[in-house]
Amino acid sequence: MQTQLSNLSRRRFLAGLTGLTAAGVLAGCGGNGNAGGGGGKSLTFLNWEQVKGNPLEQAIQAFEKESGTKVTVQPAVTQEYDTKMRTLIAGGSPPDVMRINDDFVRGFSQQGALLDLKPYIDKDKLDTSQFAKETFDFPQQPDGSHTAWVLGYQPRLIFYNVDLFKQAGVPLPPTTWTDEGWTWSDFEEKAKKLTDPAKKQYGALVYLDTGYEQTFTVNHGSQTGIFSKDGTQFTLSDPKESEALQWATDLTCKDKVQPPWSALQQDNIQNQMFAQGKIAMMFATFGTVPYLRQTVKDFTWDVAPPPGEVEQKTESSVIVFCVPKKAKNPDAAWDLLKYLASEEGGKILLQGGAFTPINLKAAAELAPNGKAPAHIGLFAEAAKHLTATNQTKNTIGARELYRPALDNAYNCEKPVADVLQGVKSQVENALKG
Amino acid sequence: MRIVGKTSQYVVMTLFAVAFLAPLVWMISASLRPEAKVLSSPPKFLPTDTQWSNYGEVFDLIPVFLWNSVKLAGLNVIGILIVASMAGYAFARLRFAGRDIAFMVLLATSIIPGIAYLIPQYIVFQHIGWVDTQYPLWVPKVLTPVFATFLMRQSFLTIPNELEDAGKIDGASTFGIYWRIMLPQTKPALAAIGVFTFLESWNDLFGPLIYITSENLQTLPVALAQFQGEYFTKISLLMAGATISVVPVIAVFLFAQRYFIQGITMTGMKG
Amino acid sequence: MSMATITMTRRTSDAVNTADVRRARRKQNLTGWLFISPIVVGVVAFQFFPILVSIAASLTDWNGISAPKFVGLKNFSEMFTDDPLFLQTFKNTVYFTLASIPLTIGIGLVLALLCARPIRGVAFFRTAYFAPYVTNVVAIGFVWFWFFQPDNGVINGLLSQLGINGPQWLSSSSWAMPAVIMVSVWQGIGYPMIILLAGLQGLPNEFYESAKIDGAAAWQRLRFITLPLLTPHFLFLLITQFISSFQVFGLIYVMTKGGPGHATSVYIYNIYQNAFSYGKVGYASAMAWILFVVIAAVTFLQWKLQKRWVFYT
Repeated sequence: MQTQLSNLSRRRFLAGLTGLTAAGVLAGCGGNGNAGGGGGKSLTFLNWEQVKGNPLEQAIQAFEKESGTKVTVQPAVTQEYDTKMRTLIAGGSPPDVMRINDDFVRGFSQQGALLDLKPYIDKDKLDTSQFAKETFDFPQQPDGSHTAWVLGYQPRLIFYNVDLFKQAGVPLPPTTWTDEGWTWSDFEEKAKKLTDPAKKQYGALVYLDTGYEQTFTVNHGSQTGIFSKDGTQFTLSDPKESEALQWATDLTCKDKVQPPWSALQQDNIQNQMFAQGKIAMMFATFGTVPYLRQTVKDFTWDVAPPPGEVEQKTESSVIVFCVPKKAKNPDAAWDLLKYLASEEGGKILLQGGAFTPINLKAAAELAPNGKAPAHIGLFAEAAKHLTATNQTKNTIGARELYRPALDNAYNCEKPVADVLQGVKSQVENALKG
Repeated sequence: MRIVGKTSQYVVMTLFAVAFLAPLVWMISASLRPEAKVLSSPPKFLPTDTQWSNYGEVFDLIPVFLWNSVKLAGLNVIGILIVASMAGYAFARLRFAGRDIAFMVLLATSIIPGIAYLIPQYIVFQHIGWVDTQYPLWVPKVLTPVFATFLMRQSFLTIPNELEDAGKIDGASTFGIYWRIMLPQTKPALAAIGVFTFLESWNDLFGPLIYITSENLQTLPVALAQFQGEYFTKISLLMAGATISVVPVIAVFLFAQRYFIQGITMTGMKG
Repeated sequence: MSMATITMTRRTSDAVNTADVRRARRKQNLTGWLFISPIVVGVVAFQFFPILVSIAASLTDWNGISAPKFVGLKNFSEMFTDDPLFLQTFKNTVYFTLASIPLTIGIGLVLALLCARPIRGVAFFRTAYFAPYVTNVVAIGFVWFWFFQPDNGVINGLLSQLGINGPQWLSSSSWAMPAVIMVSVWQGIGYPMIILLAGLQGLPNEFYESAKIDGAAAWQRLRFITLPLLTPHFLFLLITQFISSFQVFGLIYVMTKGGPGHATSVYIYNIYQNAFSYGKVGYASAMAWILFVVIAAVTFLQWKLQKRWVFYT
């Protein structure tokens, strides 16, 4: 069987064996024809989930057309992305633009792996007032460098099943950002009415989403949420914060209106359950919308702000890309990032309904366009009500200590305050980096 | 007696078979459901409205990846069978200086977890221009089959000496004895190694993920992993993909199986 | 082989004899090393350098990206004094290994014996038992997650028919590990089964013939002939299963992510996270070398003890 593919491989093999020659280098990097582009600009792009069939693909195509740059999108898989990213950067020839976990931005910046985009911003005299400010500033480092690029953000809201509300005769949540009739106790009341043990139907799901810790503690009156401002203390274990998490846990352990922890131990299981009509209200990110749009066929669903108490804020995740310092085409990479954050690019990305584009003008056009959820505009509105987890030197390491500990509260074996007190010193030790 | 024995054997085997197959039946049935109905509670084993389109969606993705996966599995199987059987034969049947130490060192290398040296290994492949080629997915594997060598060694050790001696008296060369006399005696072990090697290569997600960046060189597990996104896991497609990817391995197994039943005249095993 | 060579040369004079023996021995050495040369070349070319780097890395503070900083034995001392997860994950791994290996090999042996008999439909059964081993781990994790559901899962459904109130399984700190072990035994049994099946096929007939003449009962033949003849394969399984069960985390990860708490966190995943989530590549290398020392010691012991129970024809 002689196919073109195996011929190609054999040539690469020989080239690889001679190794040290330029041919070897060329063969090694010559992935998808970007070596033979005939002088045209090109760049490689890596996301952590499929780009195909996603507005990101359209936006990239629009960019290619406008700039004449060829963008090679590398196959993307969510599994093992962290491993791949560190290995590619360590290997010294990473893609020109790559998705980065927001928790990694600070660490990778300190290790000098990411290109500072500040000079590009200055050189192009980019008007940064066109962007959502807090989100835009997210990748700004203490030394003033700007080491990553935010394309958009995914605020968290309450997703609810309109049909279940109507069946139970429960008034719907508010459609604007208000806590009138939408406090924690209102939420709890509704959840109780919406629960039907016979049908395995639960009124609420709050404690699974990773942004709930910050959101609910701050709304309960916490000044800092999970970590102190300077990122050295673990404030989640303080009384007020523990109380907030206990409230969410009690929805399961006392009120029995929330799916038990054991029923939630698979990726994205909550979306499945919501799509099946097993959950009436769910705290989840904007990123959930595409799945629900595709899957939910037989009921109406919508979104509402999180219930308020002392505050009514919400946390959002950011969609961050970076240009590795060793990228071969940093200029082209910058052009692409700039385009994706522009009004034009933002309007294309908007179509996916997966995140709010960072460009304010584009974000303003967030509208249902005949698709659920009817109040999708709340995801743009959320920009005015954001809270963010304070950054630390080792957020992931800290999280890997306190989140598993919370399992023992969520499965109703221990009170929240106890487990958090129990790990406090370990977590703060980890925060030292 | 005999009939009772046979019946009870069937009962035991069937019970085991149910325990082993029930979850897989569920997997197949989940692959045939519309996404919103994958998780029904209580779990149903048979789908109510069958969705063959899940398979259509999976098949659209597959062709190039399938060929890459088959090619790599084939290279791995052939290569490992040759390398491991030669080495296994030497470790079991030949005497030479440093034999036992060499064997211990080989075994030791398999103890070190691969992720401990992933980064340096990647850098090496980068330097010799192997990143974004398929070489890292078979050349190093073919040349370091430690467990397979170990198994071949153990199999060669169970062969009685008479056969080998007869070969020597006929004046056969060492290679001739290995190739013509001894190797055919180890067909069951070769078949087992063939199956396991095929499987390992076939299901390898990590290797292609790390080393391959071009779409046209990518393999099946990577294609299937794309059904799982950050917030977007289509379980029905995941299950359809898993079901499809099992089929070729089962086919290989069925083919290899005849080598396991070859020596079945074993009188000792009959009740 | 050496025996044969020596007997053949014995007839000639003494001087020629020694030279011949030496030449023969040299030839033997050469032949032996030629046979193992591919694998030796492979290990030297693809593993030695990375392994050396990882030894060096274990003595440094290194994130894989910026330059490593030499810290001596600090990583090792930190493990024992400053890392609560080190001991816990190590204990979990030992628990997992000690429970799953005997079960996998034991049930694998039973199935291999059942499948070795030439009865109708045996090919179907053999394939059925092997099927879980070939199935995608993520899919398996999902399926079993659903089987383990406390309220309406298949397992607790069966238990409740026996009048037993089943536990919370995957989210219970005491039952998560047994659940994980159960699934990994279920999934992994195909491996020892096939190895032992292959071993059974290779057994020489003579022993059984004479046993039959002696009138040995079936179980006696199993006890005194089959099992002893299979011991080389048991040795292989014990050693390799031990090595690999310390390195497996895929299935555990998709089922529990190490939880609840750290009840099912395993050592290798801890290494992995340190290296790639926290960027502590140097520390992770140090952990890997501790693991190496432990497994190497156990393997060496198994190797030395084989004289007591392994039977080569």
